[in-house]
Amino acid sequence: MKKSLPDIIISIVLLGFLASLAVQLPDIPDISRTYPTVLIAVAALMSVILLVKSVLRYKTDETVETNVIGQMKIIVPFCLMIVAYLLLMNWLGYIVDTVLFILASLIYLRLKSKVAMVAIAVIMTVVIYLVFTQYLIVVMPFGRLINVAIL
Amino acid sequence: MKKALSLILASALTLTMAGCTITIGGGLGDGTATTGGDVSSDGSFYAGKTVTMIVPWAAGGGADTAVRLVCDYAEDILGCTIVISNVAGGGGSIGLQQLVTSNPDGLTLAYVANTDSNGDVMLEGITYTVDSFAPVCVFAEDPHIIVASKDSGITDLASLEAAGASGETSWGIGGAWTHWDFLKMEFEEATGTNYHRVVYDGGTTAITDVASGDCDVATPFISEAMSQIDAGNVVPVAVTSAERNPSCPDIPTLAEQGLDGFDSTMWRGVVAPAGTPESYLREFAEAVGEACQNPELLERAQTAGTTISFIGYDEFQDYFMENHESVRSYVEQADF
Amino acid sequence: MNEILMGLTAVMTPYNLFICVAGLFIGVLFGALPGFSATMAVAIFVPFTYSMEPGSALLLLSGLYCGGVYGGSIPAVLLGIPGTPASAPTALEGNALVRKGQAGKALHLVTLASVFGGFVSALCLLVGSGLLAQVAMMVGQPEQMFITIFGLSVVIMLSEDNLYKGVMVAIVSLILACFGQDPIEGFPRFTYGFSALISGLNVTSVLIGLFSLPEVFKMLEDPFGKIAESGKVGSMKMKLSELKASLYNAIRSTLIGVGVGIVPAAGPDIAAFMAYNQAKKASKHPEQFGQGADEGIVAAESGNNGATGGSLIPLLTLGIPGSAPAALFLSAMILHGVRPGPTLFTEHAETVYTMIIGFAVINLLMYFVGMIYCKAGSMILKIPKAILATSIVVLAVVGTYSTNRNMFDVWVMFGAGVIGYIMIRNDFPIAPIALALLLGSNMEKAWSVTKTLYEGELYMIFTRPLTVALALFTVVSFAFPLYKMYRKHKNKTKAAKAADTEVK
Repeated sequence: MKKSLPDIIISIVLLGFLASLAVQLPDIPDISRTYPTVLIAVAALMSVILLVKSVLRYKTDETVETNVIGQMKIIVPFCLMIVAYLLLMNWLGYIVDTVLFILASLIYLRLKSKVAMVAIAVIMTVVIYLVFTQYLIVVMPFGRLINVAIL
Repeated sequence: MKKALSLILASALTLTMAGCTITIGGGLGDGTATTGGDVSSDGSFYAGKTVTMIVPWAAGGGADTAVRLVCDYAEDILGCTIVISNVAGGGGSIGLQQLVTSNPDGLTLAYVANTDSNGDVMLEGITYTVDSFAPVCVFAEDPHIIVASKDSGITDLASLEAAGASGETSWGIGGAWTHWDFLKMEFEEATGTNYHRVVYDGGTTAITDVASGDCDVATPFISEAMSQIDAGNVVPVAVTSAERNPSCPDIPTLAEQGLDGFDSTMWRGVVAPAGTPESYLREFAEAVGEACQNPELLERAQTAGTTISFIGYDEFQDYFMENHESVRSYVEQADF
Repeated sequence: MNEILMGLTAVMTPYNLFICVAGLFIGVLFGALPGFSATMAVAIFVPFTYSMEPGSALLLLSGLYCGGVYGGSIPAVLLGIPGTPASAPTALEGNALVRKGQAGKALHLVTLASVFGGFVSALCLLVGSGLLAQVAMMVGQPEQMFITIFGLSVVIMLSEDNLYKGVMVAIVSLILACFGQDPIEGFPRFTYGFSALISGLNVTSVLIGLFSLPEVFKMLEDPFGKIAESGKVGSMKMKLSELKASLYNAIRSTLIGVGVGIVPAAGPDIAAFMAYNQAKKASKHPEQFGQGADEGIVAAESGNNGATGGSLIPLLTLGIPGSAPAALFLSAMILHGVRPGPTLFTEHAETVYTMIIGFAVINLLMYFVGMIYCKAGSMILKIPKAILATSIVVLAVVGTYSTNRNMFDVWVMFGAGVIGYIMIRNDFPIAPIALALLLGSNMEKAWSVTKTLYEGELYMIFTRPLTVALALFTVVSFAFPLYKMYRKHKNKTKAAKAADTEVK
């Protein structure tokens, strides 16, 4: 992969993001529009310059050996696990969801001891749950499908 | 594998022993583990139950303090547990959104104030309307105090009105699109004046700028204003409620100074999701009413700078709608 | 003097001392756990204080506050994850020290610097609050505006190696700080139609995600090793000469902390960044910053703990909170009928002096509580990465959720973490995001009030002496590092040329 490639992608994504903000600008009342408009303009200008610079550099850039693909193979599935954890929170309730996530994550990260795995999942979840609901009076998410609650 | 399975079973067992309730397949929208609906033999619905009171603002704020104070006493009268849940964010809309999508079983209630029922016209992306709520009662009405800087020469209503003729006198409010703005509009409409609107991020910042002379007039709440008034850093002009406030009996009302019938307060109340059985809400409102007569509560409220004032279930139904319409008309004609 | 003795006797009762220690223990824990913060500790415990005596209630909150601000530095050193934003500069140095096998020394240094900063700030509060109240009174909106801009100049120092990207990150973050209701009309900007965005992105959630998740992902790059390759905590012992060398730095940083704390718009987090920045400017070895410089840690920690006392000055004397936790102190005080403001010191002398003396005592006790945590915390380095990574994710989720109890904030936290990781991988510094988010909305607020107050004649703000001083200060703070960089660049090219001619 060439070194300037990520910068090209990032500046394009950033420009897209700034454009999505710019289309919302006209709705904002005049009096408080100037400040964000100026910021967006400056940010857009800087991204364009970064884009142009990176593109110009791209041809002459050396190709660097990185292990990005290999690392992404570990990180992306882990991210998906977090996404699933958050999505299921309101369906499974805090306790079941968290126990499942901890188990899944520890299996995925290849913790050797199975005893430790289960112990950590259960103890950590229960401790967090009890401390928050009983002592700190924070209402944890309920599950719509299954709900486990410790009273 | 067997070992792991037995461990899971064992841990499941300990969970059950710890006294947990497991409900499976509660169905969509059934948020709570306990099912409501049954009324105990003596006719009280709330006894022994757990009520969630959503406060759509952060813990420790004015709204939170007032709600906690009242719920502390209402709890004993109802014989139930009230859990205060501060669901902050979205200008109060996230908590209210959570309320209107919860079961109308009387066990989920929320804090509400003047402008909340107009969220759909004032803010973007809000799906609830005034019809999504079932008003329960009002427990506090906090007046603002109009204060002026010493350099401005404003001391009473007459000089305040005179200063408002040119539109150059600055009037600091504690936040945009809340009761602060409506108070200013109501005052301007009643007196035919016009002030230069300056938006601060809270009543305290506004009054400090008045104390240092940077801003001419501000309208903080009593709790925010008394210390600067006592120290003589600002000049108190009037309280905005119909009657004088027990926390500051020396400060006259606007009505006394000639603005007949002027009454503008920030009320704090309770709402339930629309469709909640009326009998439950009546029971809750009555308990709050009883709590609001407790002298201990009144004393604590006064030190906290909140003015307890109770409006019961029946009266609040009309008051809620009237207030809704009045705020809506101001929003629609608003022009800064 | 009488009041001081009165306060001292009130603090020295067994019950109140217990409250102080308990507050510290819980506060440090909240500060240290990723996803939990000092603000959250105070917020969660405010309702608990309703039934306590006013003096004891304020001691508990002070313990939580000081402990929380200090506690954030423990994971900052050990894992490179600042437990609270105030320890972000510490994290820049901490991890490098761990890799050198000097975790123990770093933790001791952090504790000493924190105790020093906190204790001195308590003394400032005790001795100078009357005088400093006058200063706080002079800080109006135009002054606040320049202070926030001044704060942003730290970005330049933070991203010296990659100035262009650093500034770009800061500007985009300032845009993110605009999300939500505008300060003048309350129009919700950039909400994409989500009602959850009406009050903007929750800064705490963004910072939790930004600081903790990238470290988790870094662990996953090589998930089967231990955190520190050496696995060594190293000795906690320090030489007297090392302490002496840091003394001047600590004094300067503490004073910066107290000063920043006085300003309503900025709290411990900004103080830490500014003190770190000044230490780097003053250092004889600025190139060591980012590679595990002791000076950086001392500056950041004495700076942020200095701000704890400083932020109570405008609170006690004017009723204006100087930081988010101070805002919670305000509501607790009001609820107990101890109304902050000009009359506080005469009407509620006993409560106030109990609190101030307690603040000093708490900071001294913090040394012992801190060392216990440091000893226990060092064991983190021995935990397998798999367990650590999982725990951090779970804690970050529950911490973010419980602050405001909505899942939207948790998604924001996750998004910030993923973006932060991508940025770090591509040499975009993330520290400017924290700075810009923390200062952005205050800058816009101060700017819009200033603009409405001085409508049409904005130049009139320069009739205010403090504004002029701050404006000059701001200009210098932007120009100085740029000039230094230019000089360095010129010297380099000169040297290169000289080498060139020599070859010829």
